[in-house]
Amino acid sequence: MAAVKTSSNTTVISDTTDREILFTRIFDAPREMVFEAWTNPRHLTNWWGPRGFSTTIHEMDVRPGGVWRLVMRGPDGRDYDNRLVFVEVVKPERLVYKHEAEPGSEYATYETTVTFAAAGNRTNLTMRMLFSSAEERERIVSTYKAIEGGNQTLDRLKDYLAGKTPTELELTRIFDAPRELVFKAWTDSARLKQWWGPRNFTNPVCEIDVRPGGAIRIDMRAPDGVVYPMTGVFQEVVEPERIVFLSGALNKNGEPMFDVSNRITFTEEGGKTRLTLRATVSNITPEAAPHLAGMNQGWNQSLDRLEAEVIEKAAVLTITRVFDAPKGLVWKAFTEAERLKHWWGPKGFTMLVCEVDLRPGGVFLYSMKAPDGNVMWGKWVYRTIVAAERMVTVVSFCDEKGNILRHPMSATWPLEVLNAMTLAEREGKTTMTLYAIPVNATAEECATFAGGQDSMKKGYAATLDQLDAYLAHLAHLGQTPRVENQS
Amino acid sequence: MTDQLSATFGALADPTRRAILARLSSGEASVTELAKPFEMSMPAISKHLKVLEHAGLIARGREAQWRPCRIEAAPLKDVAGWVENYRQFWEQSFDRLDEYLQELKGKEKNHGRRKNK
Repeated sequence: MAAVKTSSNTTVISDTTDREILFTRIFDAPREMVFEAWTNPRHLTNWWGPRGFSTTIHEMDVRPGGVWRLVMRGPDGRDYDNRLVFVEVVKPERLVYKHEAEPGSEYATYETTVTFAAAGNRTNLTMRMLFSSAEERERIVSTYKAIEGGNQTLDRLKDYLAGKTPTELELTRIFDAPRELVFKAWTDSARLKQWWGPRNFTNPVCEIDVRPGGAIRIDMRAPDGVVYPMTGVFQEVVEPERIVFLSGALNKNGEPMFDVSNRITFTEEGGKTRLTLRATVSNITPEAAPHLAGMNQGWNQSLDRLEAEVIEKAAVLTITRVFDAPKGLVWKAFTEAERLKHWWGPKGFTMLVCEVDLRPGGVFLYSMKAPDGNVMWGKWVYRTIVAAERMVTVVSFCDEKGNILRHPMSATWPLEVLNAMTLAEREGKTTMTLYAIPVNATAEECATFAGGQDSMKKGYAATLDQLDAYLAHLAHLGQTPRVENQS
Repeated sequence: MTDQLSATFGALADPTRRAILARLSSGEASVTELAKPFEMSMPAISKHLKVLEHAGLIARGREAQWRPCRIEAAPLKDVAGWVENYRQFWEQSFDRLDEYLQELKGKEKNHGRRKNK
């Protein structure tokens, strides 16, 4: 143990060498990637903890004050709960986090500082664990073998970064379209070409021979012009349920950088389609590291594009308008409460409530007063938001609490309508395209319906209660109620 | 009714099925005739027809051996009615948006500055 060094002629505010543990390592990877491996749960679970330990991340909010909860399971099956709080997050340079032990627990409270220093394409990493006292340090070192554990953890990180640990990715998406349609988007090369790859990528080559043993060749072209070739082979094709294929990413010289086993399953769920993608990466070469670090984001962007492609095909209604304004302005008009107030709804209606929570899962809730004084409520739930480009929302009528209501009198008005809006600017004008698909009937709703008579009666009573709302709604559509239908 | 409605819209959310309906709007057709323009296997086309039949959008003849398919107009009319209403709903809003955007652009010019996109 180092003694406390004090000196009268240097200004050492506090010397902590006796109550800290210091680790240093050099990793053969850029610091951005090492930082990513340390802060992204998907990476972290592949290497965190001493040899033989597995880790589950329950929460990881990487920002100052953010909580990080994880459970490490030892080779003997014992669980170690960890609760940490981020103190400093400077991407990709430094992380400081505190291990907070509950009062009276055997764990220690201590602070860890990790610095990621760039050394060309490599990273000099320093990890410093600072305890409250030398005694506490000693206790943790002897009880938990902290030094050995720390070294093993960093060894595992090194292996992980070097691609020696196979990585796995699982993503799930629900598409508001029939299963055949989603399946076809994967198996028809003209369709695949439209959405494959991250945002703004194109696919100059897209050849697929969709049958077991059939070959795959896709050249992805990045916005900067770099081409990323991929080859593969189909292993299983079960229409419209499942596709399994092996793929390999090639480097500039046409040599494989890593192999991926992809399994895509399509499940029908009440008229919608659940897609599950499981990709297992193996035979990873060091140059593949940056590609793999971006794999999750890349797939998510690709699935966003698939969603757009599927919605376009499934839409029962398409509206195209050209606005004489730049798309930034049109986007603002679509997304800012103060601006939505000015135009959303027909002429003569006034917006009373207008609340916008612009984020996936967020809601735009509004109420409007018709010229005859009736008030109606509606909402949009945001699904996908790509600023100034694309927005997917689910639109419905509702009450003031946002509970979805059926159109009071029209049995042919769907409960919810999915709207996908895209903006494209040319010479200062913006072309807006709106695709609409009715997506009504949630699983619960089907259950209610199957429940039979009682719910039907309730539904009828509710219908009468909402007659006023219906009349307001017809006015909203600029229609006069057709009296002959009601007699 | 809810069940029927979602079946109808679900059936229409597929371009192949919409194309089948478009073909049937010009008269009855057999499964073989329907399959021709789509380069599809018979089982695949039969699956689409089943979905359309379940949704009440088509009916299949029982009398003739080739069981001709024909379009059922009523549910389609409902859908067409909704589509038209929904279109108007948005078109009216977009008319207002158009005016509002012009107003905004005018304001910016008056202030002699251009906002960032």
